[in-house]
Amino acid sequence: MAILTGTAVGNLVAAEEVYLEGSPYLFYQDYSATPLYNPDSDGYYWDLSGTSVYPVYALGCVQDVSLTENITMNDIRCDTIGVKGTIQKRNYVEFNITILTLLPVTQLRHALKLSTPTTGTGKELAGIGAVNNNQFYMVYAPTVYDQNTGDLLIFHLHKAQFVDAWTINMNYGEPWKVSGLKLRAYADETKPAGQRFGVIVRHDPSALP
Amino acid sequence: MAESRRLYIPNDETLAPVLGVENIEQISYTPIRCRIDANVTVTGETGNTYTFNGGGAVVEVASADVPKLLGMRLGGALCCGDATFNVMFEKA
Repeated sequence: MAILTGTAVGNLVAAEEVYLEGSPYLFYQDYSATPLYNPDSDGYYWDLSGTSVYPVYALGCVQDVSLTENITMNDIRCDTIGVKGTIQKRNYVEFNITILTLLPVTQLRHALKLSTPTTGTGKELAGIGAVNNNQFYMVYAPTVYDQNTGDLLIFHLHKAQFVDAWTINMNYGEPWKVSGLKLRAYADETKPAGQRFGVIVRHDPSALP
Repeated sequence: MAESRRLYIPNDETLAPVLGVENIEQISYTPIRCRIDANVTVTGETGNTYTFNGGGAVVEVASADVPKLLGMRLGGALCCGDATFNVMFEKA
């Protein structure tokens, strides 16, 4: 019911009573692969399709997931008037993640920036050496917010790296956890300007005509 | 008298008289592709060892070793339940 006063008039877009909860599933794949939709019928690039050369990796047990961005802002300051606006440039979009599942090493090696592993009968080995700064990933993070109808919201980032220092917490009575993981997505100049960093996709046939 | 011994010759019976042997154990080979992004070394049922240099690498594997390789998975208790997860090899 409209409030007598304080309600805007005219065309208005209201928010939905939908609340998302918990972490999305997190998948990543070598950037050398192409997105599943490359592009889709609407011109958007998203989703992953694993191949033998470029498998999709699924992060198992994750905690404390957050998605943030970094922006450079500079005010348009006119000393005779004041601030008339702000110039903003998006620098990167970033997932912050803590994981509790460390194995197999073949998967962990990406998050910890290890060397290409060697797998043999009963063993896995990977080196802790120089960081390969040319390794990029696509990131696919879907959150199902209605299990019955399969409605979901997806964040797809085009060109990300695992950055910053990781910490493996080895506490008594707790599962080991790898914290400090950051999947930072940069501008991908191969994608259209409007989706250089990523795409958000919502699938909800009942709510969207 | 012809010598009896084991020879591993892939699908070529014409070589038997040339080599002057009676018993040739013929081995057929099947190309197998690695699905794991790692350098993988495995030993098959026949005792043969195969090395795959990264995901997508294809190696000719003795057919007797194929079932074992196709049944191999990376890791133990997998978290996500899909039957296709962590399968290490596939037929090329």
